[in-house]
Amino acid sequence: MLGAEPISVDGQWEPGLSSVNTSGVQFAEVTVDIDTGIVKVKRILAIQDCGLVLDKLTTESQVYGGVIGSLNFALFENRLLDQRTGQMVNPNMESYLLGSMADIPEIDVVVVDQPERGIIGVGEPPTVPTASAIANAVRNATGATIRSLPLHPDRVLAALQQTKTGGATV
Amino acid sequence: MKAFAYVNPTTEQAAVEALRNGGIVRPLAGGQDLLARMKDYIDQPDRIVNVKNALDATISSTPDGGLRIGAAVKIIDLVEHAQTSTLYPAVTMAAKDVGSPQIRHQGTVGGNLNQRPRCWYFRQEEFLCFKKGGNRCFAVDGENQYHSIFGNSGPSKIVHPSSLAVPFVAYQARFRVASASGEREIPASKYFTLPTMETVQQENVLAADELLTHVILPAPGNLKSGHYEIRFKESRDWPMAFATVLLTTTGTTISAARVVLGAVAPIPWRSDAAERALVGKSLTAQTAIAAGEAAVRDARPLEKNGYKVQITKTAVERAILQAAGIQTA
Repeated sequence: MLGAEPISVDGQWEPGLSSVNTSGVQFAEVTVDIDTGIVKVKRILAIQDCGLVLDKLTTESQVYGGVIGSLNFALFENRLLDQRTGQMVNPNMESYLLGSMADIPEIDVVVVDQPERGIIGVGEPPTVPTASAIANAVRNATGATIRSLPLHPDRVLAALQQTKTGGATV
Repeated sequence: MKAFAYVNPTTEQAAVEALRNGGIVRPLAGGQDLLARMKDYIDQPDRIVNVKNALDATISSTPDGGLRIGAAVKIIDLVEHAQTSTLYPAVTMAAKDVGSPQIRHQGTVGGNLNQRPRCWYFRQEEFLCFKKGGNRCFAVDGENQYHSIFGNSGPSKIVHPSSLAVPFVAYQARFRVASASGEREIPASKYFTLPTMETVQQENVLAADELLTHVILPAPGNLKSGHYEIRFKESRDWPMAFATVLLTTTGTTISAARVVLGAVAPIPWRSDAAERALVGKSLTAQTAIAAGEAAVRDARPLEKNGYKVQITKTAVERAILQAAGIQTA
């Protein structure tokens, strides 16, 4: 709602950059309601490299799943413990939040097929960038830097307030 | 699970008779709360009285131009009832966001009003809190991010979970209650109770042998209405705060206002301060902002729910803008 700053970066893969020989990049588009601190993800673009693609459908599906898992990590999932007893207070699907279908945005997956590199596999790497892409998009939209997850409204409102008063990160 | 007797009456009279005696007796309608409480071992009735076939499941017009809603009406039937949305749009708006499609197709109006709190300490058997006969409220200095910011000086810090209760209070509904010894009507605003040490184990004035049978809504008159709920997820999520706003206007000036807040106090919370900030003012975005600020001026958040103050302010502001027909975010 405060608009977005364009980001322009050039780069390329370098040997040693990815320890398991697979690499990827993701982009997130979000809206932030600055009166309520509610972040909605509008779109994710996930570009994933995994060497030789054996089955395009299954590979893409793995990336979709990774993105959705990490979106929940970014926005919703939060294991809350009662500090005096160590008992988890939200051990159920009612108060341990997970996005429902309506919370999952448009996801575009681009799998880079590089047969000459052989079979590498895709596994968990697509879950890695999503949460940071979302948090960075929130920063790009609002100027608020949030370094802990999930991006619950209380944390986002606190970060917006500190941004307004020129304070530190949350 | 403890064994229980099951009674299946087909008339209101037989239902209220079945509620008398027999140890711990609970009425069952849609079962969206009672069955969950039983599975969580926080309620262990000796007898369950199925009231689905005994209570009115229809909505009818009253002679004075209002509506009479049977307690066994399913939430989905309330959502889809055309006359309700014409006369009481805030009721329809609240009903359509209850739970999930499954819950709206199974849960009833009476059940929504009488459901027990959703406080996560209350909902776990390990935490023996005031509401379960224990000696403390764990939310006082515990995980209280969803607890009350108003009316929380008493022993329990819950928020009332009913979405429908808030517009019903705003529209000045009366609740008809029946027992084997007769019936009575209670204004919605007097039905829900702030907890004291003596009353902390229940959230309303309903006696154990009484059944809520009807919600009676008076003719609304010429009102502008708004209802705005703020929840994090798109569905299947409890609102962090919400507001029903009903305005009477003379020209562009607000001549009367009712503002009732939900998910912020142990009862539907009428905001006198917001109402005072509205009456006599013209219905503009500026007035809405001022009323939102007035609504939360006396909020007393707990350690972890300070953010709800900002969210409540926004809910009030947006409900007013909606009533005014001004586009909101």
